Amino acid sequence: MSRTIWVLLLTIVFLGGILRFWGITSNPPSLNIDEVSIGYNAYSILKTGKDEYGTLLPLSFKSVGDYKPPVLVYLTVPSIALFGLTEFAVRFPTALISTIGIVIMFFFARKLSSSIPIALAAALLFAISPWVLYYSRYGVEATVAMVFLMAGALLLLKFIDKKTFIRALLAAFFLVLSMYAYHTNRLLVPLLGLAFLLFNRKDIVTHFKKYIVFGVIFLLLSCPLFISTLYGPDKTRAQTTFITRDIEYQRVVLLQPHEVESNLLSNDTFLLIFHGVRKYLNYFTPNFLFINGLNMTRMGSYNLGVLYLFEIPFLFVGLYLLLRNKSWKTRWLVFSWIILGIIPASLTQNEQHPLRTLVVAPMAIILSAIGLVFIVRKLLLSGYSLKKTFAGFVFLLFIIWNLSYAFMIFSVQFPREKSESFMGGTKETALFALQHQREYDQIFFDPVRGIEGPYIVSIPHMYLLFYGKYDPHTYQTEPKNQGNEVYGFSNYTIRKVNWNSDKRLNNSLLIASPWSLPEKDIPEYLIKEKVYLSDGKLAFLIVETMGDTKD
Amino acid sequence: MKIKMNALIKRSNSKINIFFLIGFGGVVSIILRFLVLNAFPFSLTNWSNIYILSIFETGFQFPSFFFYLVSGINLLLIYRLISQYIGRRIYAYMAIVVYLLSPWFIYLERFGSFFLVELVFVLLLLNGIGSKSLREKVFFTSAGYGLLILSHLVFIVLLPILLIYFYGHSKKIITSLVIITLFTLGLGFWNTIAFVETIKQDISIFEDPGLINSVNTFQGNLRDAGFSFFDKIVINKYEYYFIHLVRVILIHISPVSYFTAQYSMYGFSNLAPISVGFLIPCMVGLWAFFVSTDMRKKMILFLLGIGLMIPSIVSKKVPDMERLVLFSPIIILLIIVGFNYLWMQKKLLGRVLIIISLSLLLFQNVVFMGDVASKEHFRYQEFLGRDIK
Repeated sequence: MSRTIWVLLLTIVFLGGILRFWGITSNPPSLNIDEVSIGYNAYSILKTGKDEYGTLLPLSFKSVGDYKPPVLVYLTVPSIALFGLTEFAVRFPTALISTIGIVIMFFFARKLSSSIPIALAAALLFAISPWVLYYSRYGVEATVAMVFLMAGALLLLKFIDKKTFIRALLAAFFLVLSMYAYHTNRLLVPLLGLAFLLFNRKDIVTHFKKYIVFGVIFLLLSCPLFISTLYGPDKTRAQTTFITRDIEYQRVVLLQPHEVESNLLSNDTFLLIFHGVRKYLNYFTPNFLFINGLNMTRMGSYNLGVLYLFEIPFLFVGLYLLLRNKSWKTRWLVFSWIILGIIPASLTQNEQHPLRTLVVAPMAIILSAIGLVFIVRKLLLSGYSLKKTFAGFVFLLFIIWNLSYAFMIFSVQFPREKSESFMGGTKETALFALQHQREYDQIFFDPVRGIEGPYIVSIPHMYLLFYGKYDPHTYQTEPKNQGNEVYGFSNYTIRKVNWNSDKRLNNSLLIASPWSLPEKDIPEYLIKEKVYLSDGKLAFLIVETMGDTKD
Repeated sequence: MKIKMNALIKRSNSKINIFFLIGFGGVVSIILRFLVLNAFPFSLTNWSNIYILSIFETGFQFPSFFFYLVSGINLLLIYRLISQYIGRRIYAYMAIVVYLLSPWFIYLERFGSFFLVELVFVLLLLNGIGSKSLREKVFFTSAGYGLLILSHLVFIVLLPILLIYFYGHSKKIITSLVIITLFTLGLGFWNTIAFVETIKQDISIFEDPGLINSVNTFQGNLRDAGFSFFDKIVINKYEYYFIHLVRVILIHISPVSYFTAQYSMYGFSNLAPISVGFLIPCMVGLWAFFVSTDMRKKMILFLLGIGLMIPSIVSKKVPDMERLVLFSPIIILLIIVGFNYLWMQKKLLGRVLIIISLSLLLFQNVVFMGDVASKEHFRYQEFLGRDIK
């Protein structure tokens, strides 16, 4: 590779790095539930070798009952050792791995296309992709899993070229690591394995023994995961997110809560199959791809799709070229990856989940890169004409506008309008409680919040642990107040707050949303603090109780 | 002797295929229509905004069987259309089966939609374009186009497409199209208020107040954040409307809108407009269309397709599945082209895809028959809040 290519690649990596790390602690506006949980569990592992529940080096973190994959938590351990238990430390691993992902994308695209311009274009689009950027700026397992899968696939392609033991080992290691990193990959990697068997059957038959070595390493490394998924706690996770829990399926297809009986022809299983097909195809809707896929603003307004609007022609041209070009030997991987990559997300509840399909992003980007390079070549190499120059200029203006629009969505609209989704305000309440902990006998947190209504359940105790840097050993061993919808440690209690019944408590602090603490009913002198979201809406009230003596 | 035998077997196979197609399609479609007939009461929809009726401030009422009659005419015209374009009878029968089995048409029949009648006009126009004899060409094209713009003036967008297509081929058609257009526009002077109103109602794409609210919120946020210089450049009404328009067009060209219940018909149905089994041949048909070398045919189909989508594109509802039915002949054509392409390739993959498509079609129809029988009338009550008579 020439020096120019290296310089271009490093420039792209630098650009991608800036986009990933700039203002990382303030945008997204605050740590969400998963991030504080990952951070505190990593801190707990660092200090005691055990998670918050006292389990030694678990393969699946119970956390708040969602059984988190282990890789990101373990990757956060050195980050916390280096930067302390801070917001930056929690977000650093994802941003770093995503930045490294730009380099991996370059080599992966080069391997797939045997073209350096396509590889550079893919690296550039990966560096600025809204889909990848959004999920690189906070602690997300899917980003890590996507990068590891790219690395594994790249090494596997290299293993096909030259079958050394080291390549087999590394390919298997990264593929399995991606499975440990995120749930989607646990289904996708085996499916891609089947596609690999199908499309490379001749090579496998010829070099059977070498592939057996690869297969054995793969199976040995993934064995604990399969056991955990089939018989362990991960099974619970799969059950709780399975498509049968999809609200639309229950409400529209099965007509729950009405008791409408299905008949033999259209029993629930058959209807579920077609609902799954619909969910699968929904991922190919333009709304998801180009207009609103990332859900970065409030409902009803346009924000960003998982791809930029200017990528529409690139994507279609790329797809067309790849379909027509039969000499492209690795195109099976691109198509299998896209077609199979959406299956795991389609089997879960919720509509069009960009996070669960993030694994598909590299292939969508490669398709765009193929189209981009083709169009640029057409414009540059086919001679000068005024019409072409004008069209190119207009399209360039459109790209600049689209990127500026995306920048404004990322930097202004998103932090303002999605503060609540990232549990905005919970940090401030936790810090207040930590600061005034000794002044009160009891501090009560309401776990239910929401501006539109009390619908969002949060985990304030984890914010207290995280921002208070609560000693993990003490937390694992101390007795906790665990009752019906009540959870507590030290003098903190997490339970539903009700002003009318709680106002007579002695020397206590109540922290809850205005739904539980109606501002108009509370005397002004009892309100210690009001916490607002970044869009100026009141999220929490911190209120002192009256006690028996006060009126 | 051997050749004769082969030809005989081929012919009898073809007859069996046609018999199977019509038999299967007919039986399933009759059952589906019967189930839908029993699930909801008959109600006329969207009869208020027809150009010619608005101009003369009049209206018509039709009994429910009229719409089955209209579907019958549509079937004849589809048969003729596909015979013209593909040239093999089996594909024409197949197109009839696609029509018969698609819940889209079944629901429009039941709800007495005027767009089913308008589909007759579209098919007349398409038949006219595909006709070989000049006489038929002039008659069908003029009749189809004339009736279309008398129904919805927005179809005037088809005029330049047709004029370009027929330019240098037939002066007769061009003259008749221009006369029809002038006559239709001239009717507007009869009742200018109704003329303006119908146009307003036809083109309501940007009338959602949410759009302008979003622009104002976005600009306000930008100003608050200190980007006051950018607030009008990065986002303004026109750019936001442009995004909206792109979104609407993309939704219209997305296969998902047609083959899944992504946008439920009449706001309650769980049925896809066209069975998902036809998705594979449709995509293959699209591919065959892209790789074909007949640029003239390609361009006219492409432009007509866009033209036929326009009534739905400019509607406030996105997508307006009633108006979009006018685009259905193009989809049916693509499905049939797809089946033809898969069959003619004579490859294993093609055969496998055909089998998958037909199996899915069979399975989906059986499941949805059961679903309509047991649940669709409850959905009608639940989501439309209407009682069953």
